Amino acid sequence: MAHLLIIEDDELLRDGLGAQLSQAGHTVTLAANGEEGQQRLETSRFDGVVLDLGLPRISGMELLRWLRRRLPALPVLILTARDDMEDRVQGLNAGADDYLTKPFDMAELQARLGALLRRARLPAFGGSLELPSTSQRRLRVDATLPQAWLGDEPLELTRREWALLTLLVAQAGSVVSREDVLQTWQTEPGEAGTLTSNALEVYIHRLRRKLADSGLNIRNVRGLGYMLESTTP
Amino acid sequence: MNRAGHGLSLQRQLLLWLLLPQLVLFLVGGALAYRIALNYAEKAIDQSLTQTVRALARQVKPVGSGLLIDFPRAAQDIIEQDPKDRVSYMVSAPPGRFLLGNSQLPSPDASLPLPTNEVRLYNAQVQGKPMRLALLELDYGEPQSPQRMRVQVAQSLVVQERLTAELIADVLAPLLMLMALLSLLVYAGIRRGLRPLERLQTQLGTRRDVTLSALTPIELTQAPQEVHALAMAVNQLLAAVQRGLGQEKRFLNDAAHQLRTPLAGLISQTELALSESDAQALRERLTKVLAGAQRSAHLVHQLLALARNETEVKMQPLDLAALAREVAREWTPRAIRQQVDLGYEGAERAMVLGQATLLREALNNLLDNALIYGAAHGEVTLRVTASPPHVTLEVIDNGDGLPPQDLAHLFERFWRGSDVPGGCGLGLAIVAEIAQRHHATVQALPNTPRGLRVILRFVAPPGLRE
Repeated sequence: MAHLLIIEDDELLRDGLGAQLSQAGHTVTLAANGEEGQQRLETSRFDGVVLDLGLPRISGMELLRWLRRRLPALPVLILTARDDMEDRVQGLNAGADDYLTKPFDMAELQARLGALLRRARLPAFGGSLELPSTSQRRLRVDATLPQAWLGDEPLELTRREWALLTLLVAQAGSVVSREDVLQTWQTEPGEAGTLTSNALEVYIHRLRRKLADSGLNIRNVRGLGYMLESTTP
Repeated sequence: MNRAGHGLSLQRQLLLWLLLPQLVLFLVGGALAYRIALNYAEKAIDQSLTQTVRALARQVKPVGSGLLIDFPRAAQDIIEQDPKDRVSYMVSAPPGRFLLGNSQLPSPDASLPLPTNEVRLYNAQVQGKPMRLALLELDYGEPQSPQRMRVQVAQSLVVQERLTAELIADVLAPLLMLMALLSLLVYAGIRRGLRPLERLQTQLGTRRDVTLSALTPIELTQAPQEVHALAMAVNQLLAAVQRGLGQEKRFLNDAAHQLRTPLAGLISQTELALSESDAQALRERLTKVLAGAQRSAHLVHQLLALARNETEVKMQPLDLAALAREVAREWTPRAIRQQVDLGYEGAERAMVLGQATLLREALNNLLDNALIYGAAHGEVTLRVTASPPHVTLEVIDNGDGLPPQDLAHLFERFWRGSDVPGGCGLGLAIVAEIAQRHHATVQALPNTPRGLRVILRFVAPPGLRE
């Protein structure tokens, strides 16, 4: 699925992470320290990086800054044993896309990493994205055209429906709040006036109908928003 | 002890500031009194000398071109009456040529003109003694041959010296004694006033060890108000530290024991797994190892959360409703996996003064609990309501709830209401402590018709209410 670089000095954790992400279908390269990580980043192309902040010699934070100067769009998930605010804020300020505290749940790491990879592919960077599902009519979204397909059939979408769909796809598996949708709509060119939650309900309903038998469903999460999920557990 | 910032002792400062100005005042006052008295004495002498020289001049009458001196015995007696302080006199004509008198008196500074019929006063040495002199010159004789005579009177300055001595005896000596007495009183007063502080110092100074006994309250009797207030403040602090230290010790003890259990389980399961040859049995052992490791990780996380809660945090205005929705969204995937309907209801916006990381931790623990102990396929609702001045956060599940006698223990550290694996009995204790940090009340009530309802009630400061 994706080529990932794992930079972690603890052998037990590096080995475990590598094995589990390989099992999940990713191509994994391992680096035991910052220098090795720099070398790998200079010689190969990666889709994402899992970076430990507590590295010897070149610290994870330094490496992150170095990496950001060269590869501003590369998704980076940082790992740390310290869960105080400052570390988190510093990491995110230095350009990390997400943050996990050790020890973490493997499922959590995979979900976060998946979201990062999807997001990196979808909006401004071009490339197409296909959501896995058991259905024959899989949803495929290409941000550069912009166009969405169900199987081989192009999806007819209004501007608002497209904005709503890309938002849901980028964050598939997690909840998108109503405010986020309304805000995205409002920043679209040509939008004016106030948008209500009722209007949103109408669009969700329409999109649901268009996505029928795609193996995907838009779940209404009580009081919290909407979530794109696979209908097959 | 850090000496870098130490100044003079309080006692020295007080002494310096009370006694030094007093000393200066006394000295200036004494000098002034002396000068004024001396000045009056001088004026008195000058006046008497002027009168005497004029009286004497009246007794010298010009007759033709000569002089007739009518100087009765009585007048002479008066002038010469005091043997210690004799008045000397001299009549001379022309000036400087001795005619009559009881001693040779010197002339004044010749550079200044001497007008007729005017008394001149001056100081001079007579036979080696300092004296005050009065001089009067008069013209007489025929207009064609004018003549001049001089009358001089002198008094020794011994009077002045005697006056000085008397002044010192009468004014300065009592002043000095008064000053000494005052100094003594001030010193005694300061010593007495500062004694409670010294007692405080000796009571605290001997406490060197960081033990609970070093934190017993200070005992002070008959101390002034300020020192009492200080001692009370110190005592309050000591009591708080003592409570905290005791709590920490108990907690550390409990925590170590709690960590021991899953670690012992981990070790024994790993040992068993190593000796296992059957693949299925090995798998079962490893599943238990994973569960044990996850339990330890959870416990460590909770212990760190408690430790973090005890450090200083900065409270900031934040939207509790938005934070609650955000945390609930993060929990939604897990709720869906467990087929629990997790939802939010209530206010769009509810501002409180708080610390986001801590409140997030509290929300995480509340939702974790609700998802573990709530009903399978049940419902968990997060609700934030604002009814000034309160902002209320509720987490409601429709599980089995707890019997009333257990509700009271719910927020105690290491208390566990169920043997569902994975819990460590710290989650709600952490919630209670975070609530306390936010001056919020925490309460657990049975939910109707069933389930548990945990309520945190915050007081929003007036500036934040909308």
